[in-house]
Amino acid sequence: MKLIDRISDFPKYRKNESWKYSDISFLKEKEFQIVQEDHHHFINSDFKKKEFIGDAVVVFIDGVLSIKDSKFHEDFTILPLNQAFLRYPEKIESSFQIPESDSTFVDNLNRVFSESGVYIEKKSTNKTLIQLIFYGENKKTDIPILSSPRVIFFGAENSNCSFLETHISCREEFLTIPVTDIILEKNSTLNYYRVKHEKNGTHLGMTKILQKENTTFNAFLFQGDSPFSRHELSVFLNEKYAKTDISAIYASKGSNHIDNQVSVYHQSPDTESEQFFKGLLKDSSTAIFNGKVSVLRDAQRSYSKQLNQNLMLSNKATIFTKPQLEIDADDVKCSHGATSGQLNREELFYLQSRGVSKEIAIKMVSKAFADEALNRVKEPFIKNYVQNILDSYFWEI
Amino acid sequence: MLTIKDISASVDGKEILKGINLTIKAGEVHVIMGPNGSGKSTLSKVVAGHPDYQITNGEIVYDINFKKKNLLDMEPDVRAKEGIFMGFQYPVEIPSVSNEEFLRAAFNEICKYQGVEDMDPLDFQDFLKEKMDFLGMGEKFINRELNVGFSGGEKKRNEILQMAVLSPKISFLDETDSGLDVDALRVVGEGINKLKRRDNAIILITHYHRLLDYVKPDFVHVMYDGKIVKTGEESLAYDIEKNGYDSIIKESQN
Amino acid sequence: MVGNEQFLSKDYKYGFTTNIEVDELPKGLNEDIIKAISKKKGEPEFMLNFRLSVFEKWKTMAEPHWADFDYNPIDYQNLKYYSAPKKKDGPKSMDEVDPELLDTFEKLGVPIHERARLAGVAIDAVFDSVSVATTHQELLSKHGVIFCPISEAVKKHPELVQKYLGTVVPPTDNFFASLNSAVFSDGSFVYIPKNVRCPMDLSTYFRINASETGQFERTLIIADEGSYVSYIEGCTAPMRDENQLHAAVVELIALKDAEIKYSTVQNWYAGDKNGVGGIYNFVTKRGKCAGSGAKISWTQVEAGSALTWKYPSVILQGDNSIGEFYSVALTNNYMKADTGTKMIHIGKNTRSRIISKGISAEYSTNTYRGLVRIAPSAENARNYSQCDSLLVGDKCSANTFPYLEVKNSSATLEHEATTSKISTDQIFYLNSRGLSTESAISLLINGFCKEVFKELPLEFSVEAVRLLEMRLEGSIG
Repeated sequence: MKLIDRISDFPKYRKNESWKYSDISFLKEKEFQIVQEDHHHFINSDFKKKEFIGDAVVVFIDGVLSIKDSKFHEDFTILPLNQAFLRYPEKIESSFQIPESDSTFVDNLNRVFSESGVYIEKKSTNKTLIQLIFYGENKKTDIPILSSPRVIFFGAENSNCSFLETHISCREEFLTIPVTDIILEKNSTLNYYRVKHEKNGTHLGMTKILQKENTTFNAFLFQGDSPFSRHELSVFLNEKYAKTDISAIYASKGSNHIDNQVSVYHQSPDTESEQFFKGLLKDSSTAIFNGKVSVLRDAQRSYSKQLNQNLMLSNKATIFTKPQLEIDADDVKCSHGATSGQLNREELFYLQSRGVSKEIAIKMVSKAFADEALNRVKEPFIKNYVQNILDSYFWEI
Repeated sequence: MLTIKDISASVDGKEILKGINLTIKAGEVHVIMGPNGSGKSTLSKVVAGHPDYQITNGEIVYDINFKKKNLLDMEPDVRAKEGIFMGFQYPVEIPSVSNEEFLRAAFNEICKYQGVEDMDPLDFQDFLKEKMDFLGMGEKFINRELNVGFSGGEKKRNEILQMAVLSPKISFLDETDSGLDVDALRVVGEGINKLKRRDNAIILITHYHRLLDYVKPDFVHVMYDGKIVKTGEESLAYDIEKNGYDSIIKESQN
Repeated sequence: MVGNEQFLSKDYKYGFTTNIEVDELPKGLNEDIIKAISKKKGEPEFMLNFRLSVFEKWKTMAEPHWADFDYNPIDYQNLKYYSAPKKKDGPKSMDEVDPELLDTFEKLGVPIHERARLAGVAIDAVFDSVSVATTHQELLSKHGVIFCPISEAVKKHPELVQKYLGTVVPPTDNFFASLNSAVFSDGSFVYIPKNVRCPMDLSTYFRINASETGQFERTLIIADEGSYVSYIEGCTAPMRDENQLHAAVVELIALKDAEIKYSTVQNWYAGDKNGVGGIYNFVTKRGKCAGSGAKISWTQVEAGSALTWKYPSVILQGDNSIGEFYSVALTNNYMKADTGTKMIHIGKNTRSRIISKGISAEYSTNTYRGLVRIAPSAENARNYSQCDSLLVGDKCSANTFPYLEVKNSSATLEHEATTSKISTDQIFYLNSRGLSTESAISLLINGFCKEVFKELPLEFSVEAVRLLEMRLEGSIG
């Protein structure tokens, strides 16, 4: 199957604001196959030992939910999406309340190809972590695999939850379009972590969050490796006192292309948002930050802050950054900023003058740059998990 | 100097002041105390002319240079030019306008109104320096944006600096002492004391008697439910500090 | 506080029309009209060919329409492309200028006749399609400075015009620039010779008077090596219910070590309080720092026009060249302004600085849209951008769309933006310190815009503050 046979209108490179710097026309003519539900492989215990860090773990293999590999926990209701449709139709229905964001391509693409998904609900305030592993198996196929999993997560009223989404793959060529929908009911809190470190393939991911009254959404996002990777995050602060705090690190190398799209919509008064994106760019890689804060007419007394900082570790890397503000309410405090620069020569020199070799000094300063975002991660084992990925990135500097 | 006669005022249709009577003479220091929501701050805002408050009854007569003027007929800026000053409980932050620019503009407007010549920027700097020394304030104040990023104490000190520069006849200081640490309280208290003269009057609105260690009042008024329910001497403030408002409120209700 | 009626009565004091006999071409746009314009101007052939070839291409171009900023379609065949006050033939001396015109400019605060000329500024006054007078010619020519209507330059200095016209804004750059290239009738031309510091500020004053007429002026400024010039542009138009099109093109060329400072106070009629009428201001302004060490600085105060699309840009081609953009844009009622800049860094060690202040009131929309592009060749380029918005009232919008494209990672870029508002609390606070509402607004506006105002020539900055105050009164409180 060719993508172009199923999808007619691809976003126009340069013309479409959201795809201005990302050209995915190379996907059009590619052949892909979709793995069917019965196509099961079990993952080995070594992998489990290394990668399973949640109290509950939901495993997708090549985009298909694998109940047998998953690990359950009493704090979470976990159901395959097709069963959830029957059991909780009104809940699934309500997940469609999440408004459309500016770019709908990825969302629609996922819907077209989605074969498998999971419904998760957290009701308690116990400090338990649910982990979703999206795993691409180490097995050769003639035709690359297209995976299109969908997750619907409900944070029930007054609940508290941590949610980790890891994307790992051993495949050499694939296309994955994972979409996660999150609804936070009144007074709930969610700590969301998304770590994407597939080594290859094309990744077009999306996370959408609808926040109701007095909810808190804390996110940490990591995008690394792979030739073409894009993540879209849309946050709708739908009711008063909703609060969102997003920090992110992206680390590109080789000729990688990493695209970060983030939109925060302040739709009600007294809402708060913060975005803190840090980019590391090596070799001749390209990274994009397209961040938008939109404050609607009624969203008075909103607060929003957005910062994108980029550290250029080579002379050939390219960064496109576009921190946007759209303000329709007057009683707001909004600020945004973006920077791009190389390592601070003074800092390097200072370290060198104290006997630190240049290589080590560069690593130290780069690490300190990333740590500003990483330090916002509260769970120590997730922090370590990302730290390990970053260490190997710094090692190659 | 200022006669407040049977003033009632409301905001959004809700009556806050219910017939206030108060006479203030030159050289006097008044203290207005009272529990939260009793209308103390409203009184000072009504005198300063805050647009949110509707006067439903009464009058305020301002007696200056042997002329009686109806304060309620004047715009807020005209009242200020006539010598009415209000120290804000929450001074407003105004980004991108420097403290000095603002003070000079205000000072010159008042000069113009009173038929005195403007002061040029250099003379004004000297004048300002003198006032700041007088109040023991550092120069760093002056180039910063108006109240932006000021600590609570700095904001209140800045209010006192404005009072010193504009040299008003009647000053309502609305909780100028709240949120201050001991050192800031001393600076503010001593500042007010230094600005007290025979030809002006100061009205302190406060919860605490601690400011009274620096400024000795002639009268202490207790407000409750939009009315002045008791007036006494300095000792009344200490009495309230010790015993609270309950007995006074009960007394007034009987 | 000042009521709305009071405000409106002094809203737009330049809204009068001048009754004057005109010489104009019929409505419509075709080759014959273009030939007629060229003939009226007595242009050499190269100019006519330039126009006609652009016109061919323009016919194939599509009018730009964007969802957020759409406008009533313009019927290009229902516009007049040439309208000029009738005059006696021959080169004009000041005595020959129609007294009605002198009067008009006097009323606009731009005296051009001998007695009342502004001492430090030379003025080129453009009335609809033509330049009517240029002052201080003698002194300027003593320094070798050429400052004349572009129609005259085409004839007297064809070698300069031919060499530079269309080199910064290519004739097919965009729809409106192409239209301008085909039909422009007048505008100013400036040439500053090598190592000359222009002895006074140069200024052009644009006045749209005729109805159903588009204004398509063209400005070309060339600063030769080591020279300096400060140029000021002002503009007004009568109040009319129809929307009028203004599609100017301004090209600046700064050669090695030259500096051009270009200041604009734009006060075109913005339509009435319901958004009826007003000028469509679709202007292409671009400068090129062609030589090393060149500097181009744009300063603009945008207070008029119903709809503005304007991005004064700098191409930083020479090594060590500098581009600057200082802007205050105020929108009120139903005005829409989409303005900003492009800084294209090509040379090494190039620097750019962007300071943009947007003030929006009532139902208006104020957008900053800017691009900073660091080309792979722009080693050690630096950019600093600051875009602040001030909202007055809760029905307006303020948008910030900065694009940063860095293809040489030795570059250092910094972008910052904030939003704030003028609140009734602030006004009351200032009132309670003796400042009238008018003074309070003036203090706030001055404070918000001071980084831009200090870049304007002194007399302009006073004018600019007054203009903004006037435009804002009645919207606050």
